[in-house]
Amino acid sequence: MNKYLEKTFGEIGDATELFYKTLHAIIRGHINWKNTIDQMLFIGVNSVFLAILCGFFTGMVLALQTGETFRSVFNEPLYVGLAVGYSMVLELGPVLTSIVVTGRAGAAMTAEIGTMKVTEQIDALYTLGTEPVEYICVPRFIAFMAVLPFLVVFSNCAGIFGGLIVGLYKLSIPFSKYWEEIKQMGLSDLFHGLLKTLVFALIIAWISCYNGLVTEGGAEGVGKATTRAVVTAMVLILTTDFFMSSLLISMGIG
Amino acid sequence: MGIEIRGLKKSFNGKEVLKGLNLDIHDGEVLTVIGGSGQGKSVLFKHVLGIFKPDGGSIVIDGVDISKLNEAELLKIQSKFGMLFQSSALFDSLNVYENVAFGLRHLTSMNEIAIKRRVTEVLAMVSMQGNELLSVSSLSGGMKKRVALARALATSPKYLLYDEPTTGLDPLLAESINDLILDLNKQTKISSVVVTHDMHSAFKVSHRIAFLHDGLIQEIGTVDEIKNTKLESLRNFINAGDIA
Repeated sequence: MNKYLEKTFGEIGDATELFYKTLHAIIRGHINWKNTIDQMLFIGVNSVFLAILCGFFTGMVLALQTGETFRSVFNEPLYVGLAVGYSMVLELGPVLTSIVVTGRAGAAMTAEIGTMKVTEQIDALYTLGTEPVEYICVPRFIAFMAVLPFLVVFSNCAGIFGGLIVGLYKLSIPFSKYWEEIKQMGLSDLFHGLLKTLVFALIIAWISCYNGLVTEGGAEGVGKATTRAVVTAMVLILTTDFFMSSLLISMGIG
Repeated sequence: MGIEIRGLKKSFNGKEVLKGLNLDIHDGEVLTVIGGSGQGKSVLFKHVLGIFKPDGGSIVIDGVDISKLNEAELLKIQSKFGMLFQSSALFDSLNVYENVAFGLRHLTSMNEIAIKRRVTEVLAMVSMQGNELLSVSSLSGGMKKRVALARALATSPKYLLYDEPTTGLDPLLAESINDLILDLNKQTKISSVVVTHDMHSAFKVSHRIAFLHDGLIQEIGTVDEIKNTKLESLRNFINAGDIA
């Protein structure tokens, strides 16, 4: 038990140190822009289609379930635009997109960094005058924080569009009614979702990099590190979502 | 001034790998550290590079104890070293040219023309000229070792560390790497430390050989002194190498 606690607290300490070192390097402006742009393209290009697809079908199913539920109670599909808009912008857009990006880009990053670790490429960086945190973590932190909000906005738009398609052709809701409900959302609602997205981006980058950098034991170790990174990031995203939502609501944001 | 290692101790998960190791590495020599697998040879290298922090003891490089340095100061000391890693450790995402140019971009203020000239020069030293645009994944094991050696040499390091340079190579390639180590020492007078359990390689390239066993340097001497050792564990190690 003592050894388990020692190991757990040791890992938390190491992960916190990595987080601090990365933010410190960003604040000091030690940024490899070429790597950062490469990572932005990697995250964006790899995940944009999935984010849109995921948002589109989520919006469609939200519209269908909301419409049919209200129709069974009130004989009319009420508040479909409101339900789709608020659900997508406040919750499902940020959370689902972050989870998709974790599985797609975060896992690939952990596997790549883990492979670099077990093939001594990380050690090689030291001998070539390069601090691994600056070369590996800083570009990924910035890239996730820069790209994930855009992916969430695309996902939100796709979800609202998906809801509209179901509203128009399945539930027979007029476009003007659906659009009026969507327009009830304010900037603070979008801000609420995007603030959470930035925190989720930090979580994905941090967990992916940390698990990659502590990988040990060859191909099997890379597999284990990747699984651990994906599971940890997903759990942290879902739990942080609740606490962030509570905080933002209490502050009157969204 | 060389490298002085005194009383170096390191444990992993309660297992003591280095138990107070002492070793001196002189300027311009080729020192080979031999020993069985898991005896801590690579761990010793990672301490010299400052990648691992010692549990006890000191490592003094050119008069500076590296265990007392902060990260920025340590990076300066690390830039005195070139290292040929056991797995070559070339960056998969970069081609041959970019790999060799990597250290020049990060450790020197050379412009792109000077970098190109230096990359061509060091690739020629390891007989890999003309392969600049190849991707790392398309290289054979021997070619990877050569490119990794060119990368290690590019910044003109004071010390060159070779971690199992001939492991996994066929005898002809292994021999060509041994010749390269010898040639480079003659051409550049770089101090070289070779870690290996390949006795043929150790006898061929070394000025001195140190035998690492049970966490300590048990014996150190010239090639002839090591060949005529009275230490039983070392004699067994050498004889096992001959049989293999």
